[in-house]
Amino acid sequence: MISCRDALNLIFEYLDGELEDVSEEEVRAHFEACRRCFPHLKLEESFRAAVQRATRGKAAPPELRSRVIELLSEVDRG
Amino acid sequence: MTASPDEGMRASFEAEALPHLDAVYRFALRLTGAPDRAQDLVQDTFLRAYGAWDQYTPGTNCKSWLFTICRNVFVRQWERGQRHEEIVAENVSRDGSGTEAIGPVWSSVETVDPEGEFFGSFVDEEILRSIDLLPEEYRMAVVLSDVEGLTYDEIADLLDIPVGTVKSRLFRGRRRLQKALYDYAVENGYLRPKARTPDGEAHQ
Repeated sequence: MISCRDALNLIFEYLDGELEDVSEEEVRAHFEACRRCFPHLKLEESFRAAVQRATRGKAAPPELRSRVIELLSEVDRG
Repeated sequence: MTASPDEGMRASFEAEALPHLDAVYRFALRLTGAPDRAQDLVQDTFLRAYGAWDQYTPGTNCKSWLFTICRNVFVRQWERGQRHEEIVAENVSRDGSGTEAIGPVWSSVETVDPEGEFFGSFVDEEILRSIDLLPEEYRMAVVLSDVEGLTYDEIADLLDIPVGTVKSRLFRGRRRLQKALYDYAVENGYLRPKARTPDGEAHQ
């Protein structure tokens, strides 16, 4: 099993799905088995979820979409 | 000259690029920190993108292509004198110590938050404010990854930096953001600061 230090150093690559030299299964196995590291993973997951919740789904104002379409038409007209 | 090539270009632009307007707006909002400036930036981005549409390869990542234009327009027009912030040197070792890997927030919240729900308690506005206060380089990496779900390779291409730099900017950006939220929680009495102590129970 990989060490705690390795698991914690790889925590973002693991959550981002960007692991290179270590398999996802190896890292997951460590977090599931290690009671010291598991809460770290939970904290990072809650951080990621909070950032996504705060930023996702913000739609552009309707008038911006209209304005962009208008600008494209101006370009088309030359 | 017939009208059909132009019409085809307009139609393909509307079909492929315009659906990303919301994503580009979110990105612009985090770059500029202000809705009115974000709207101007989005307009400039789409105008430029439309002008360069013949350079876009259909079927490639259009959102990433638009972000690149947005970022370039932003850097060229607004960065200077507006939000210019110095970035710390990026050559600090990432794995030199367990403390760096764990982050400054952990030692303070672990006893009060064994379930790891700490960050779930923040209101959206405070999180957005803290993101906007990050140095630009970190902010871009965090937003592109955590908000828009781009891969490390896509972010590296977009920002024209090596993948290793993407990783270190994400690492530091997220840690800074966590620290800022932690400080906010302490300042507002949501969390009692705990003196930093060496890890009591050793990791393997």
